[in-house]
Amino acid sequence: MGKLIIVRLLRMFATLLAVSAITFFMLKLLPGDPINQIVPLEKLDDLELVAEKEREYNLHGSSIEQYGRWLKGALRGDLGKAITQPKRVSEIIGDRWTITAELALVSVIFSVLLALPIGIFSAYRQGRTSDRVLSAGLQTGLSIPSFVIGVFLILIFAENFKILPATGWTRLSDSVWGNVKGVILPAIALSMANMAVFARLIRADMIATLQENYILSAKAKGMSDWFILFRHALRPSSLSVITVIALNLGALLGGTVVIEQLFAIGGLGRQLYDSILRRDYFVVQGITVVIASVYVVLNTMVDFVYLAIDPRIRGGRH
Amino acid sequence: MVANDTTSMSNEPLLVVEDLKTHFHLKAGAVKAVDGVSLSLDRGKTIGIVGESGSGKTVLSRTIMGLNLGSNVHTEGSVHYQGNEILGLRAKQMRNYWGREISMIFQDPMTSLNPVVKIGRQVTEHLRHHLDMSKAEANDVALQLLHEVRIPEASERLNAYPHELSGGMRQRVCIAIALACGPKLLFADEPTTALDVTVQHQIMNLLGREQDDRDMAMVLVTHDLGVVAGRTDEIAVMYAGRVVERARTSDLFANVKMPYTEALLRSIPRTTQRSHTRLAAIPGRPPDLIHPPSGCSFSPRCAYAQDICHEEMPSLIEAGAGHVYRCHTPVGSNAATESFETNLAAGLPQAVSIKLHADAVAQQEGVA
Repeated sequence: MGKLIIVRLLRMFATLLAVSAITFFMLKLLPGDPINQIVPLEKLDDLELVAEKEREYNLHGSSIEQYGRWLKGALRGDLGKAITQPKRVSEIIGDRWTITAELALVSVIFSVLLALPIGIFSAYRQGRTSDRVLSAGLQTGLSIPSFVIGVFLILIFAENFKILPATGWTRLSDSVWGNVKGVILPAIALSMANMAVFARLIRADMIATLQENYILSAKAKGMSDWFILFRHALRPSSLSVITVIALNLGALLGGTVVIEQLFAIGGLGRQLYDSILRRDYFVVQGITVVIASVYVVLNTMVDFVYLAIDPRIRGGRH
Repeated sequence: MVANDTTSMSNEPLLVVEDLKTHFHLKAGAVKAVDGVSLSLDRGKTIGIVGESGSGKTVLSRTIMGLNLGSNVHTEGSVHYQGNEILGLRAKQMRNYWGREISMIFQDPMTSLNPVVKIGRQVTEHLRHHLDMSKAEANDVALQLLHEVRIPEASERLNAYPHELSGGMRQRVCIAIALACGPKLLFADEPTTALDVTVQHQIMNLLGREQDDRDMAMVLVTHDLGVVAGRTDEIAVMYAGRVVERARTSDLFANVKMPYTEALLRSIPRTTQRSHTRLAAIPGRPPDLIHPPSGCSFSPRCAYAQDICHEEMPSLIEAGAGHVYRCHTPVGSNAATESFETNLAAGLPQAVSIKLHADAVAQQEGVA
């Protein structure tokens, strides 16, 4: 098993390397030279200035050399210099990522907490009225875009009842209560679609598990339905939902753009959006690499969770 | 709670099943999986339920136990356990019987243990649930049980997962689980079908020994008359949801009445037969249980069938003490001999195959 973990970790590092290379060279393929953004048009004749700026922004030498220097910096936590603001890219990301991470995490927690009981209960009552009503509800939740839910939430809780703020973000370090109040609405808006996906997955896997012979044997032992659902059926039914939860967490890090825009929250997603509009090449590159890396790391963690859940995988050679 | 009327315990059978029917209502019609079965089983005794796949034997045992029948099922008749009606009880009430009074061993040990739960918890969870044992007490009992079912290195096995054990070992674990709370009635649904032959023998011996030690009654469901021959007190042969012959084991083998029983016996390969001897399969297939044939349900495959067999369902006929069968032309009767000749002359495949098989056996014996 120890060997298995080492193999997975090595594979993760190889993937991370590939991710960084692909991100770096893909942005190189874009038409136009970033130097046009850095040096004003009228000064492009000043070759000395251009050479100096090229050195400053790591644009000198061949692409391979640039990638080598960039990677060396990235390993030390430095992703280069932003063009449109006088900051390092890593500074900007460090400033913003906690907001998006908190938003993504809270919304995933919301969706899992709701999806678990709904999925398990629907599977238990499969085909009955309660299951059908819940399934229809999930279908609805799945088909409403998050920003529509967000607008409704703002109308109800911020405009009508005035109990939660409509926009803005208070940092946890400034005020815990303010932070909690600020995260609730955007997190709920983000969680509905995921909740529907998770609940349907849990329901489907649970229904399949409940057909298994070992469930019948547990029943023949006289164990209660509650015990069978939670202590026998839940674990073998949770593998695919865990994969999807982790992938969704990764996707949320880059996918909160719309909601951050709607609630005027300055997270990573909003920064990425702004940087694309302003063609801040290096910030886009940095954020993309960070999001992709989080994805890869989460995926590896999912593999480890599998090991914990299903003992049959532990013995295998992978 | 389970009522225990000690005064009537000694003379009253443990289990009495009367005219039990289990019909599944499908769009195509009602599947009469069990259609009027009556049985009774005394304490500590064994009854074998024998029949091909689809004869209703598994559904019968699940119905008696009240286990896992869908919402489209309709049951009728009565099942008395220790004098109490248990048919139609809600799952909540049946849980007092399941595992504790009545338990079941399933056909496939590879799938009847939860792959992600350690053996130890699977052997102890119902002990703790039914008998209110502490974790330590239940573990002691589990260890004892694993020793009893001859599992080596029992204490390590408690911490193992099912996939780390062989099929035979897993079935031993299943037996330990079924025996844990000391049930009075055990259903063994093809307990050895998924295992290889040497292991089959060991498992059957283990079951027999445990049964004697515990004075536990057993319903042994199988398609193999060879398995039940030496290990049951009574045998009920099922066909198309009905019991077609029932007798004490020795009576049944000495005096087969039902052509279906005879055909099952003939289909067991003998070691005295030369290798490559054709297997004596029963021609045709089990009947459609939605539209069963009119008359005797075995008549389309029976070598002794006459016109009456195709028209009229025979009633249960008594052939002696406790020996009943359903047949118009019982094995060995003049009627059977006559209709066999007629059917052979008409070239019916079931008659021809019996003739060929008999000829082959006679020829081999002649050579030997």
